[in-house]
Amino acid sequence: MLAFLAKRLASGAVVLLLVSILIFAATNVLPGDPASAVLGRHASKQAVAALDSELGLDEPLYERYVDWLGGLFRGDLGNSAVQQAQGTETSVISLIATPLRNTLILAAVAAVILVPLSLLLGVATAVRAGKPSDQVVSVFTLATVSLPEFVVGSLLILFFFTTLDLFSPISLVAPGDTPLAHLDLLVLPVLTVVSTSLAWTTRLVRVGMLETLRSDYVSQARLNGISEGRVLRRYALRNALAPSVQVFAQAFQVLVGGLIVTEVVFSYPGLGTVLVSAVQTRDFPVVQATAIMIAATYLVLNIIADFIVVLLVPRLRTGQ
Amino acid sequence: MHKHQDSDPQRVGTPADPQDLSGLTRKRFLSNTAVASLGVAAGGGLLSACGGSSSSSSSTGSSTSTGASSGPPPRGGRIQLAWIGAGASESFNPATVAAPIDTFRLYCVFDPLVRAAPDYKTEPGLALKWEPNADGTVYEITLRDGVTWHDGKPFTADDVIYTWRLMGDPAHFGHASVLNVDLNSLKKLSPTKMRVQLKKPDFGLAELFVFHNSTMVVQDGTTDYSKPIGTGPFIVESFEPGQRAVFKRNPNYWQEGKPYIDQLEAITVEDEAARVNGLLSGAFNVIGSVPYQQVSSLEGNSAIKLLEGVSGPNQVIVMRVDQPPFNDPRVSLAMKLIADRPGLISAMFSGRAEVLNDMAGKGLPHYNSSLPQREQDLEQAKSLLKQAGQADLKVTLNTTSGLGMVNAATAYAEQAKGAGVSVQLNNISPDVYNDPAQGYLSYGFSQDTWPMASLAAFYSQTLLSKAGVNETHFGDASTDNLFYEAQGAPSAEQREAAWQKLQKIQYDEGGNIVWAARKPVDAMAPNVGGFYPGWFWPLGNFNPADWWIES
Repeated sequence: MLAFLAKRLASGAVVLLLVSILIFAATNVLPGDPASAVLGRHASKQAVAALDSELGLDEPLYERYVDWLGGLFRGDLGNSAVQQAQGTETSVISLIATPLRNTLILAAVAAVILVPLSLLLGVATAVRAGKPSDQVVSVFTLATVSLPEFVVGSLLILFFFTTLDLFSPISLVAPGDTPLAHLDLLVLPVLTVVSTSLAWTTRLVRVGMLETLRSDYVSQARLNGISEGRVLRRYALRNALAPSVQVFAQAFQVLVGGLIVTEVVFSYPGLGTVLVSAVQTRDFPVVQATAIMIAATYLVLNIIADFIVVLLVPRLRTGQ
Repeated sequence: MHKHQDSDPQRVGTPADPQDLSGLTRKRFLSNTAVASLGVAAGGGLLSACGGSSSSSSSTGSSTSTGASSGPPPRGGRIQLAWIGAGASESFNPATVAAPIDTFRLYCVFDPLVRAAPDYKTEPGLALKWEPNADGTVYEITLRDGVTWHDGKPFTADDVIYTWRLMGDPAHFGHASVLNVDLNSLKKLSPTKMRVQLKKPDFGLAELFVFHNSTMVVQDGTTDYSKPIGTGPFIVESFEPGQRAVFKRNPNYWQEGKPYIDQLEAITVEDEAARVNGLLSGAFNVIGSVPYQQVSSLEGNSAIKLLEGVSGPNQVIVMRVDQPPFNDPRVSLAMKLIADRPGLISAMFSGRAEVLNDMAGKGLPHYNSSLPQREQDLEQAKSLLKQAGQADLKVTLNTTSGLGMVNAATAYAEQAKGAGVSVQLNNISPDVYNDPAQGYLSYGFSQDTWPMASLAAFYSQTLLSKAGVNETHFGDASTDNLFYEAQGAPSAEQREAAWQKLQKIQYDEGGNIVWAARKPVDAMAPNVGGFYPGWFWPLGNFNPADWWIES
């Protein structure tokens, strides 16, 4: 068990290292740099060169990468380049700490709603496969699965704000304040994220459950006269959960991407809005830090999912 | 997109009568809101007055406002304003500020030397008088007395001298304003008097200090702008770049009784639709420069008040005239004749713009209004192109989505077909459109938009041979000399004649197709006021000391 975990962690670290190289290279092939973003149309070659050297951007790429990687290991994400170009020293950590927290809050609230709801809907529709209620859910989920976040967000604003005047169409949280103190502001972003993810988590849970329900051992259990409720809970659900865990791990990964769009739609002060404006201003250290955090989140979610699957399916524990 | 204060207008509506500028919208607005500083127009006029030898208005320039119909403006309360921001690059450093939200915040914290006033006029800010000697080579500038910084220190000539020396850095966005100033010999004569030695005669020096990058005075010794000390109407309480700045009222502001509100917040949002939704929901109560396609959805909404500026940024299609095909004046003139300006205005601004005549700065002092309005003439354009051997001209117009220019570019390309000219569009990311390292300033054919502070500022920034951002590559010795004459000739008549001539050259041969001045439309809750229709900036030329809110 521990060996399994160690192995996953080690391979995760290797992947993360490769991803860090990719992120670093990708940000550096973007046209423009923080100096020219700040200096704008007045950016003469000399001024950009002077600012580049002040920001250390004139050093060779690999040296900057090694510096940055070394910083990562020490937990030092560097300073915001555009802030420094404006003459103010602001660490990336202080810049993204609050947005990161806000994003985690949004993600957590969304997850707490998404997981039970899609399990419930998935199992319920699997059991009633082919019946009208299954079809209603199917049509609904098919419709929302094909809509991107900004469309869903706009539709929700149209309905809940413009028509019903129920919830705020904009989810600004003042610096120093927490979204948890304004739960009404979370309603529409959470709804957006949940409804775009719910569709396919529900469908995948349904598929997994259907497969299990059609398996030999479930038929066997039924033939043995075990009550349907007991068959579901004891035999089907537990086995159907294993693939569902993977589904949710993937769902959360996609959800991270959806969060970025959702945050921008609602002007929610999270990591997504920080990332978008950091890309626009070529604030490399902020882009890199944010991207590596998102990559790390993916990996951690995967490892956790694998871990849970192993816990759920004893066969995997002993097989090694 | 944040480099410009443009929104992203779409094709809606029909062109308005260009003459119908100050009619209903403005009148209605004036009577609805107790417009502060209306009286200023009378007392101001610094720039037009400082032509001769000296003696601009020495009034306080504040000209206390009175509610037009409803008594004095109410005191207290909080106004929250939202704008598209610029993330972590947001700053209070006047050297590099370009985003509109940053520009606005400069006007909260700092004071300008020269302030934009209603009706294309200016009024004294921190500089009361600009007095040149007889030949216009030495100035004595008298500064406002009794002004204190937010930390209690008195404002003096040292602060202005420090600020101007910062502008000596070519990377400073206000650099063009001090090109003619001998920065080393700046001298403080008394706490409120300074002496300025110029390199060449210039009787219009003050006109170079209207633009936000060059007019804001920072405190002597300032190096960190994260929480700046200003003399302005509002004190920074907190500032999170890319999120919001919170200001409180400066109780010691030199304008008696102002500012009216206790608190002001400038909030960054990332999405235009969110900005309008936020206003509708009451998350904030003022938004400046609403995208034109959103304006029509706000019209008729009784919960929202709209304010249209009298003028705003000038829209230009830029031809590089030092290389083919536009080095042939017949070709560049043909391109000007191709433009159906009302059609472009309809495409880009829903008609909310004034038609311009290939010269920047309509309405401002010195503007040449004697030349006939250029209109679309495809036949003449064709014949000019034929003469020039360019009957089947093909050109690529560089454009960018973030500045909302693609609509105008598309419309122009369509119009050009009528003259047999094929215009291809090259849509460049707004993030790098204005980056010289990525091609800006080398585009052969492109678009831009310029806030218009004064003719002197525009010409010195963009049209002189040494101009920092000479997009048309027009500058030559004769233009330079005409400009120096326009600023520095001994008599006012000579200077005015030079200004007229300088603009005539741009009208005939210049590389700028100056086709419109868009009028920004601001939106606000009905209980806020203190705005007049601005010509330089939206929201009443950014004058937050005059704003009020009724509880």
